[in-house]
Amino acid sequence: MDDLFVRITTRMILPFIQIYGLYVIIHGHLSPGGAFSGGSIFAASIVLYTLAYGLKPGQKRLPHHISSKIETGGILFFILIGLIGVALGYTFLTNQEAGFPMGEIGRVLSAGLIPVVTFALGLKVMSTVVTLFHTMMEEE
Amino acid sequence: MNITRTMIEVALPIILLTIGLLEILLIPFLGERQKKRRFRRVTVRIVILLTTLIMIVIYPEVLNQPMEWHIANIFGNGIIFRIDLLSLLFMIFAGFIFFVVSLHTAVDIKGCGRERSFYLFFMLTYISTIGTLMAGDLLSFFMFFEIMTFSSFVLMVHQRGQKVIEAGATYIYFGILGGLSILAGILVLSAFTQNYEWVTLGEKFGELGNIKYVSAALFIIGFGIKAGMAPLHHWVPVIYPKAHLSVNALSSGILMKVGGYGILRLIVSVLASTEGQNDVVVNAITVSLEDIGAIVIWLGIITMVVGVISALEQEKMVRMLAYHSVSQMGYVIMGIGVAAYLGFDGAMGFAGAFYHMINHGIFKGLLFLMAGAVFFKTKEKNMYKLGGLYKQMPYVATVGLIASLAITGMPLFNGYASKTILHHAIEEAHIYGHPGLVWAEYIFTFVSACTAASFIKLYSRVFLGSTPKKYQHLKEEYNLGTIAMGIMATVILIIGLFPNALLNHFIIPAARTLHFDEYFIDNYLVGMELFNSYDLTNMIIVYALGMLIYTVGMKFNLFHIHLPKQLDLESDYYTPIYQKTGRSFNRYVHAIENFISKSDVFIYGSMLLVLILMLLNFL
Amino acid sequence: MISYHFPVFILMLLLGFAVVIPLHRKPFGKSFVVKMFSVLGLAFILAFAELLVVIYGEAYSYTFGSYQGGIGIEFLVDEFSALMTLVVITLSILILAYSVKDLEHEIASSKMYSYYTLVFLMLFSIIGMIFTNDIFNLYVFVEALSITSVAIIAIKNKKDTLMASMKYLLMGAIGSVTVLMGFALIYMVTGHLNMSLIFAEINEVWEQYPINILLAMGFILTGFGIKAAIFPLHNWLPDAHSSAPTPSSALLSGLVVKAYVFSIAKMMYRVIGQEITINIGISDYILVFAVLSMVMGSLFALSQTDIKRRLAYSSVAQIGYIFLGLGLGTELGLSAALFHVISHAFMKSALFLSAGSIIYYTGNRNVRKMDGIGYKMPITMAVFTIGVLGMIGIPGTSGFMSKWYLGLAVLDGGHPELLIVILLSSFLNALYYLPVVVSAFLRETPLEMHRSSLPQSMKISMAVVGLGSVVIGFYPSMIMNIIEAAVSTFIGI
Repeated sequence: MDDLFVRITTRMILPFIQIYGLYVIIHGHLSPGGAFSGGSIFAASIVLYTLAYGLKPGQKRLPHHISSKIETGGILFFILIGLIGVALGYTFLTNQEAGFPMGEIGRVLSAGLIPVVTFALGLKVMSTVVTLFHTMMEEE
Repeated sequence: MNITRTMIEVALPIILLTIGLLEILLIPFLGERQKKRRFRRVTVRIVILLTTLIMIVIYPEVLNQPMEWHIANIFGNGIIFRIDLLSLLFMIFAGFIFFVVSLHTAVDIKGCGRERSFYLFFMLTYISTIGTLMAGDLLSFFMFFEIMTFSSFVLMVHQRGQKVIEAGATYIYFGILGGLSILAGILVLSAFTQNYEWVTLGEKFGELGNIKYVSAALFIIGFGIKAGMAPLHHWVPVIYPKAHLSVNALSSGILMKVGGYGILRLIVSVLASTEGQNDVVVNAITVSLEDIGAIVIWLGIITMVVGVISALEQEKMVRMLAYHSVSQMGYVIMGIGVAAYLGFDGAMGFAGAFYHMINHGIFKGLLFLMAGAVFFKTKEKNMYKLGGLYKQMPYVATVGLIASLAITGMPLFNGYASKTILHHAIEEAHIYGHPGLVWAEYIFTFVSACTAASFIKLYSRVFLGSTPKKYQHLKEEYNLGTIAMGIMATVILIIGLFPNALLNHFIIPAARTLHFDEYFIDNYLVGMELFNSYDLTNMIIVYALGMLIYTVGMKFNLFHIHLPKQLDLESDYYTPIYQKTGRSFNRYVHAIENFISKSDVFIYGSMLLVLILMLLNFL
Repeated sequence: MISYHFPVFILMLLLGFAVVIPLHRKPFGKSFVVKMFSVLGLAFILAFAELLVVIYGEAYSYTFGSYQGGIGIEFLVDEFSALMTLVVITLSILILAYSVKDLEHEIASSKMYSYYTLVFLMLFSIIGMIFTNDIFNLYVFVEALSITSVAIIAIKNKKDTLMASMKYLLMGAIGSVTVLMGFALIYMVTGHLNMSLIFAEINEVWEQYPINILLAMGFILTGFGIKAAIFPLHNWLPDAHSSAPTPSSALLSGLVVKAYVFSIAKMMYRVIGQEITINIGISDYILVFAVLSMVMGSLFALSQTDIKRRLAYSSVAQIGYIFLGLGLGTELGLSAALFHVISHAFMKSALFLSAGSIIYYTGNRNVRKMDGIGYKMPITMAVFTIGVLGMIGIPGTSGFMSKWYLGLAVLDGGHPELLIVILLSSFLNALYYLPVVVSAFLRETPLEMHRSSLPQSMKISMAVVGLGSVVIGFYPSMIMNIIEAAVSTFIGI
């Protein structure tokens, strides 16, 4: 849509939505949320941008080659972290025994590999939702 | 000599099968040019001859005791090959018939295209027949049996027309049904006896309850389809007119016999298993065998009658001979039934059945070859339109005469010996068994008379009388086919003149090893005097009756009576039913399919509901 | 210790490669094919090594994250899982080798990469389903498998394909939800999600909450039944399998449906145990539906004229055989059913691949118009004939051995009348397969049918699948020994 108000408001709000999304992702092991919901919130920002400014600028924001790399990278990262546990002699996706720093309960940097993996997956979910939205818009 | 001996002892079946397989692999690579084709035909004949000679060579070995070979690790349980006297004679006979028919294919198949596939499947049928006869356990028997059915199907439909393939469909479906029935029998038997060898199956047979009747019934149905037993003989007159006559000779000569061999083998293994058992078990076995035997006798009699009455009605030569095959196999089945019925005293029935299978193979094969020669020259199948061919084709007329006299049982020809032994067998059945079987004997005589009448009709119509105009210029051709017919005619005469030779060398030793009563064999079978007055008078009665039936039939045109179209059980009746049921079946299926496709959720919901309600019932 | 990580290695290898595929920029070509087959080859070696480990060692369980069974996800690696994984990877290598050339005719070239991504994800889900010992993990893999298997049908953008895949998706979704309901009911009463722990608890629970367990099993059977195509719920199968591209049909019929059947077997024997299954009477109800499948599937197949539809209905009938083995409730029945899973996978793949070749070569799908193809395409028709002979049950093929084992199991389980049904179904199979073979070899070709000639890769892969079926037929003991060892752990654990 071409409305001036929507565009200006979008430009102002976008960073805050993204920070909120990152907050939900990073605090996934502490409060409700996690990769999927946080990723969706993050993706909502780009969707809003696309809705306000049109398909082409939206696609320039998150072009296809970057989104595919993020998606691939997310899963490969997950696999690699799981394989660390295997390399150290325990089973796949081992958390505490494999030496990931546990920290104190309630702090952000705790619970070993969970925040790391959550972050990667959150980015992946974001890129997936945006790609889905762009593909559906392209079809019309 | 030693090397051959060890080689034979170690792996004879493998040798036989490998020689055949090598030939099979060789055939497709020989191209279509004239010289290569002849080379291929010659190799086929040499291979068959070679394997037959090998089989003859091991005769003295087998005379001592049956030979066994175990080949482990295939099919999970291993294959066992077992050659004893019963199978050896059949194998030699099979080799002989295949060899003679392969000589005759020079007449039939040489001109037709696709020789490669014909000879390929010819060899495949040969190997699988030998394999079936050699098999020592039920599983390998079943495997070779199925291969034989499929490869003989390809031979039958070699002419590749629309109608030929439709007729072939009947053949293969009957064949598959027979195979499945045998498989059911094997499964039932092995589930209850835990193993698969022919030898040991009989052991547990006595201990089984009524299940052995079920298994025996399944086996008899399965083998009966192959042997052309009524009421499962429908495929015989459907496919025989459509196939090449060499293939008919093959099928009638040896393939139907495999069916008879199967039933015989079953009965004989059950009898053999009584060795060393106590009286109670032996009694149980003999009682069950009596029941089975009685049913088989009557099935045989029905087959004989159905076959010969239908044969009398036919005009086309090949169909008539097909029905006669059914009828003669009825004789064999009746003989097997007597062997079962009388149990240990059944050596006469066994000998009769065995002998008649061999004789029938030879003279029926010769009859088909003769019909082939006549058809090849005149291109006419209807015997009423032929006549007086003894002038144009004297050689064929002579061998035809020999064959007709053999099938009707003229003394000095081979049919006499086997029919006489069978007659003795059925007499014993009603003397030592149930007196009601005396009707069986009367029907036996009646059927023999009808056979005589039918062949008088055939021979007089085709070879005697005056020649129609268009055949007067025919000249006879002498080729490999004539040699084939000559070999068979000679064998007929030899067996006819020296009937006891075959008895003494093969049948009696076989009967001895198969646990028939020794006393009985010694008194009645050894040195049986076949040319005594009682039997000869019987033959005279048969011929007189036959002549009477023939004259009455010709006079009052009885031979042209057909059942009215509505009752005719031929394919004129079956085909419209097949088509109509096919079409309505398709319509119903499509309707149901549409219903099911369009109401998915309904079906899901109803199934869920039904399942849960049924499960709730358990509380 | 490295030898125990094989399940994870295989799964992660497949998953990793699946996500790497979309990064390829170059058009679909030889380099990609080389990469794909090296990955598959590596997976094959790993699966084979795993099989050897399990056969010469013993079955073991692998927990994720070093948590114990009740808390973490557990994979139970026993002989049959290892064997089934090996079969899945072998068949997928052969089918994918076939698909490299075949898909050029069927889907748009821009979607080739997506196709392989989906196939790898599908393989990942199937192998996960085979290994898992945790019912919720099973549900996750079931969902993943649902979506990817629908996608490999829908990737061919034709009208009937889209309709069929829509139907499959919706019915599959209903099935998944039903299954989840069943799992929830089981969790409610036993408090565990791990199959072995549930089995330990189930006997006491059964006395206290019988209706609950009954409802749960009812839901699970219906839900998995939709996906595994038991008789009344099979209606998505003919449309889906016949309109899909050929490699997808082969993969679906051969592998996907079997994964669901195997899950039912796991639920029946590992979760609630053999005793309760027989007590409730689930075995008898499965028998009823199995018999209906066997007979009705073949009857429906008789009236189809499209060859792939005929093969799809035949799948329904063959799956009925597997359910027959499951429904008997004995060890022998279970072994026969598992043997038929493997032998049918080979035979049906061979049949679908050769049918696809016929369609590729002639562009014709009508069974009535296949006269005389046998001389133009000898290898294809030979493979088709091997498949047909296996379906009918001729000795020498794996189909005969599975009918043999099933027959013995039926007689052993005390239902001799079912033997007649098995043989009747074999006869019906002959009725609708033989005319195709007969008209292909024994009739004359009416006119020139050549559309495009068959590439070598397709011929070789088909021939290997057919050969595999024959080898299993001649040496069934290779597989049967493994299955029998597996069945004792299956029912015991």
